[in-house]
Amino acid sequence: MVLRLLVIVLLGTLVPLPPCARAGEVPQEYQVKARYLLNIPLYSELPPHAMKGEGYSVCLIGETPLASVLEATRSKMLGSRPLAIRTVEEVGQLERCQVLFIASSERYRLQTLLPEAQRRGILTVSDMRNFTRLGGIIGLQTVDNRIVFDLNLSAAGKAAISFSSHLLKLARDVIR
Amino acid sequence: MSLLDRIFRSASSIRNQQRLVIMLACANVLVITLVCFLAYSYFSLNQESRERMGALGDIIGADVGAALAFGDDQAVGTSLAALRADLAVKQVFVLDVQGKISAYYHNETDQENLDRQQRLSVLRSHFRSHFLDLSPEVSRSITRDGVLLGSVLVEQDERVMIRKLLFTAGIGAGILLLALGISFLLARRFQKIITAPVTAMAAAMREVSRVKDYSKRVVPVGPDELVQLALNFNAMLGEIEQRDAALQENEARWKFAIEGSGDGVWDWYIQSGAASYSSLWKQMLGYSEEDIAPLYRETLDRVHPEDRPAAAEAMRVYLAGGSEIYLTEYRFRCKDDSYRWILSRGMVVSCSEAGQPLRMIGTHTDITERKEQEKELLKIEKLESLGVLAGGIAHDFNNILTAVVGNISLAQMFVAPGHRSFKPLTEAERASVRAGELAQQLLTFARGGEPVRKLASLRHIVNESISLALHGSNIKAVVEIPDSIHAIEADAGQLSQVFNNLIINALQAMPEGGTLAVAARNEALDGKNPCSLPAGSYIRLTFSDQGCGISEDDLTRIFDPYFSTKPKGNGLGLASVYSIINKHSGHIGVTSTLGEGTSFSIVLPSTGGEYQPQQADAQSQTAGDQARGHILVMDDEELILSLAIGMLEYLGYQVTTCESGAEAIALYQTSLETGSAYASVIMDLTIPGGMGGKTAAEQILALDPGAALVVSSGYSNDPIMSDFKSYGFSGSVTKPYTISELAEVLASVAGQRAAS
Repeated sequence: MVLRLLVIVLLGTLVPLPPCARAGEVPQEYQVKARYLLNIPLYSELPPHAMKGEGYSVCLIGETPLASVLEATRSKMLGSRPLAIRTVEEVGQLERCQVLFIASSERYRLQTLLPEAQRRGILTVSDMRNFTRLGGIIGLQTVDNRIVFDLNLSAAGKAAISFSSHLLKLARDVIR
Repeated sequence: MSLLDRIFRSASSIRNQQRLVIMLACANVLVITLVCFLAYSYFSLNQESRERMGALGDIIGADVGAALAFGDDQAVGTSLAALRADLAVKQVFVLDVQGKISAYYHNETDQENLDRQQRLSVLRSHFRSHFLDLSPEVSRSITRDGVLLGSVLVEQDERVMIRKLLFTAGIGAGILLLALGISFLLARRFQKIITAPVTAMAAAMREVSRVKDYSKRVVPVGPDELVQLALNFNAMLGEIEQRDAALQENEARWKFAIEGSGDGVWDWYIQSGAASYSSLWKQMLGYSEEDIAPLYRETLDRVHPEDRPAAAEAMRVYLAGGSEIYLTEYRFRCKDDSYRWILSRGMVVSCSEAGQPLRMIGTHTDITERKEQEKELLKIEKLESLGVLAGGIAHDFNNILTAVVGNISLAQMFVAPGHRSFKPLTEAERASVRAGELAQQLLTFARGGEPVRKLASLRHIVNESISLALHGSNIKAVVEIPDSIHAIEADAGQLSQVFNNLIINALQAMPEGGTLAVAARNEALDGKNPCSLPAGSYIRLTFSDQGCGISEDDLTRIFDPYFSTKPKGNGLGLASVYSIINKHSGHIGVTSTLGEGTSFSIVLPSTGGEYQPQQADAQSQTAGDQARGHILVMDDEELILSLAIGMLEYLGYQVTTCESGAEAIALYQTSLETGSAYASVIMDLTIPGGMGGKTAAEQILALDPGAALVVSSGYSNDPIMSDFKSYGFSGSVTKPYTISELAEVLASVAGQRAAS
C-alpha cells in the first residue's frame, strides 16, 4: 500500500517536472490538451484496421504548441504499446496514425483530412471551433478557463470508433 | 492468588467450594473465549472493512478515472458526492497522478476542524498503525489500460467497527452471564450428586463412633473416588473389627492362662468402682456366680477387718508410685465365713491423659497352705531349739544315770540272788536303763547320730522290749521268731527304742486290750524290691495290732516329725523310728485298715548267719577273779570315776583315775617307763576345757602303738563311737553302762591285745 502510494507520489511529483520546466513558454491550456490527447485513447476503441502496427501513434498536423508538449512523452508507453508522437504534413502520411490532432491552421483542408481519417479509422481531435460540427470526432474547447470537449458519435460511428461511457459522461456536448 | 485462596477459605463447606470452582472455571473459560472472540472479531472486521473500502476505492477509481484523466475535478467531486448514501465512509481523497487532491469527500458527522490537506496528512500517518485502527483506511491506484491516472484514499467511519464490536461484546457478555447461570445450576445439581454421598458417609461414621459397632458398613455410592473412600473406610472398620476380636481372644487367652495356673482374676474400673471377677476367683472362695456383684466393694467387704489397713496402705503406696506392683496378703472371707489367705497382685493397665489410673487388673492366689506350712515350720524351729535344750539336759542326765545304773549293778554284785534286796535292785537297774534309753533317744534327736552297730540278737532285743513295755498291760504279745533267724549288726539301744515305740503305739491303739503279733523271718532281696534296698540278706520283722487303725491321710504323714494324732504326743516317736531304721540301712512300712488294725513291717540287713551268743554273762561270772591288770580311767565327772573304780575293782582290776587327757598321757608315759603299762585306758570323749579322748588317744598311741584304748561317751551317735577303730580305739562303751557291759568291752579289748 505504502509502496503504491510512493509510486503515486513519485509519478505525481517527479515525472511531470521536465514538461513543466519547458512548458514555461507553453500556455497551461496546452498541457491539459496534451493530457486529453494522450488519455482519450484509454477511453476509446479503434477499429482493428486502425491498430495494425505494434505501436500507438499520436499524429499532429498543423501549427500547434502541442507538438513540443508531447515531445516530452515521446518515449512513453500507452498501455502495452509504445507511444509515438509524429508530426505529419500530408494526408498520405496518415497511415499508421491512431490519433490525429488537427491544428486550427488546418481548418482549410478538413474536407480532405477528415474523410481520409474516417476511412482509416483514425480518431480525430482538434481545438478548432465547431470541429465536431464540421465532422471531427472530439473537439476541445476552452470554457471559463476550463478545457471541455464535445463528441461527435456519428462521425465516430462512421470511422468505426466507440467510446467508453465515462468519456461520454464527461463530454460537454455529444452529437449523435 | 491469595485473594482466590481467601475466597476459597471463606467457603467453608465442600458444597460452596465446589460451586465456586465450577463457576470460576466456567467464567474463566468464557472470559478467555470472549476476549479471543473480540480479538478475532476486531481483526476480521478490520480485514473485512479494508476489503470493503478497497472495493469502494476501486469503484470510485473506475468511476472517476476518466474525469481524473481529463483533469475534471468537478466531475470527480460530483461522483464522490454520491457517497453520501454510504454512512460507513468517513472520508475519501482522490489524488491525481501528481498527488494533488482532485476531489475530497467526508460525511457530515465528521466535525473535525481541519482543511483537506491536513486531513490527508493525518490519514497518511494512520497507515502506519492500521492494526489497532478502528477506522481502517485503504489506498487504491486509479489506472486505465495500465496507465496510472491517480489514486483514491478511503477511510471507514470508526463508529462502524465500534458498533459491531460493542454488539459482539454485548452478545459475549450475555453468553457469559447465561453460562454462569447454567454453571450455578449445574453446581447445585452436582452438589446433590457429590455431597449427598459424602454427607451420608459422614453420618455413617458418626454412628459407628457413637455406638462403637464396628460391624457396620457404609454404603458405597456416588462418584468413583467416593466409592473408593467408602470402601477404604469399610476396610478400616473391618480391620478394627478384626483387631477387636483379636484383642478379646487375647484377653480370653491370658485369662485362661492365669486361671490355668489356679489364680483368680479381678478387673477393676477405678473411677466407676465397677469390677469383674473370674469364675475361678469366685470358686476358690466357695462363691457361685450370683453371689458376687460386679463391684469392687465386693472385694473390700470380704477382707478380714484386721488386714484392711495393711491392704489399703499397699494400694495407696502402689498408686502413689511407691511400688512396681500392687502386692499384698490378706485373709479373705469365704462363703462359709471361714477365712483363706489370699495373695493379691495387681497392676494399673490404663490411665487417663492426666495420669489418673482408670483400670487395674490383678490376680488372687490362695496361699492358705503356704501360710500353714510357714506356721508349721515355725513350730519345727521352736521344737528344734527345744531339742537342743533337751539334748544338753540329757547329757548331764545321762552322766548321772550312769552313776545310778553302775552303782545299782555294783550293789547287785554284793547281794546274793536270793536276797530280798536283789529283785528291787534288778528292777531299779532296769528302770534306770530305760531312763538311759530315753535320754539316748533325746540325744539322738538333739544331735542326729549314727548308730553304734554291734552284732545283736533280734529275738533278745524284741523280747526285752516287749516284756518291758507290755508289763502290767492288758495286751497279749504273740512272738513268732524262729531259731533260724539271722543275726543283725545293729545298735541294740536304738533298735529297742524302735520296738518300744512301736509297741507303745500298739498299746495305745488297743485301749480295750488285744493281741500284738510280732513275727520275724529271714528274707533274701534281689536288686528289684519295693523297698528300694540293695540286694542281700535281710530279716523282716512285723508288729501287727488289732487296734482302731490309721486313716489314709494320717498314714502318709505318720513318719513326719512332730506329726501326732495323740493329744499328748510329741510327734517324735515314729519319726525317730523311721530315722533309726533308715540309718540301719533298712526300711519300714505300714499298712492299716480302720477298725481292724495296723501292721508295721521292718526290713533290716542281716549277717546271713545265726547269732552266736557271746559269753558276757560268763565274764560277769568271773567277777571276783584275780586282778588281771591295771586300768586307767579318764573322765571329768567325779561320779563316773568313783563308779568306774567300784566296778573295775569288783571285776578284779587295779584302777587309776585322772580328769584330763594331758594327765592321762603323763600317767601312761610313767607306767611305760616303770614297765608296768596299763592293760587298758577308758577315756571320756569330751572333757570340757581340757584335752579330750580323741587327742589323748593319738598321743598315747604314739607312745605305745599297742595301747588298748576304750572310748566312752554319752553320745552314742558321735562318729568316733560308731567308728572307734579308725581313731585308734580298741573298743567303745556308751554311758550309762552296766558292769557287764564294761566287763564285756574290757574282755574284748584284752582279747584283741592278746591276738595282736
